Amino acid sequence: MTERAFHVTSMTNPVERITVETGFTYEKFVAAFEKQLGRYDRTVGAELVKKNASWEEVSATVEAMAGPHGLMIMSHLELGRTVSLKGTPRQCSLYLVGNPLIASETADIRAGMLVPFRVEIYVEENGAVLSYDRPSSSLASLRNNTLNTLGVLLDEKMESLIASLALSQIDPHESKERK
Amino acid sequence: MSTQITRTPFTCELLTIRSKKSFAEVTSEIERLFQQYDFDKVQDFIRQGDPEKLATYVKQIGEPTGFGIFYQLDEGSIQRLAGIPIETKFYLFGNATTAQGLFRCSAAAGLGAPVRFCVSQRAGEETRIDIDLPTAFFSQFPEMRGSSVPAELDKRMLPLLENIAAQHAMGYGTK
Repeated sequence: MTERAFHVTSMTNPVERITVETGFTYEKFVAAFEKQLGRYDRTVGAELVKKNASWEEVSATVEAMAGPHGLMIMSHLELGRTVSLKGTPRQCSLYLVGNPLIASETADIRAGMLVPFRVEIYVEENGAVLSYDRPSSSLASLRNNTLNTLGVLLDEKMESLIASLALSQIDPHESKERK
Repeated sequence: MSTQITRTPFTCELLTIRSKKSFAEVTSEIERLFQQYDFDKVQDFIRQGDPEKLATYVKQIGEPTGFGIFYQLDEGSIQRLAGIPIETKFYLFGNATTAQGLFRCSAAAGLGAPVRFCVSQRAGEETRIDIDLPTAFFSQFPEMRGSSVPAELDKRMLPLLENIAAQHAMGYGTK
């Protein structure tokens, strides 16, 4: 008999999903969203690891990658076309958003599953929709005070980002009229 | 921007598979078993307007398990520079054809598909694989109640990760 030296546990936790109906076209909103975020450069990250850079150098380099709200796009997947295949092309982008410096403030191994967190932009009848699971609600399940603090910090950064997008000068004529 | 914000509570189920294998053994087995999507190729097929080629590519990437890796991030390497002795690697995996079934029900499916899981190990401790249970994750969407895809993902994905976590590699006849 094959030895199955593993065991499985499960844990349920309440999460809050935030859905923002923007009223803007997908293309305009995606452009505005990306402008508010920095981009994590994986090549630079790999170089820092390769040369075993000091934390001071890592902090300065990674901090420079963050956008005005202290967040960056760790990865962007243009999911729409991929999952449409032969069907009608969908407009849908998935972003992994975070900041490795914030994530490095905790030694809790479980946090890696939840940060960076996912942000999706897709299209519905009234235009682009932004959706994500509120980081503090996901991280609260791990019952760790440091993670609770980080979760609230990430919530605030996302709220600041959304507020900036709401106030931004995306050409209002590009906004679709609400029905 | 005339925003309208909705807050929807739902319940997630996080599954943790613990393994006596090392982090390196588990991640190398994952990366041997699941092929990685090359999004430059995907973009080329899209630009060429050739859905047949794209569908064939998705099928090839899914061999032999039916699933491929959409994205992976070695989070631990940066954390170790901060002096935190952990190994952590984050993955998004799935199947673009199977995901179509979810996206037909709701455009918001992208927050759960591809499915995320994370392999991690603290120095001297067991390796763990954490994964969101797809049925729990998608249960919040009333539009998904009729879809068999989340249950299919539970049934097909979890045994693959459990087998990787097991002490000895087992067969992967999952199709």
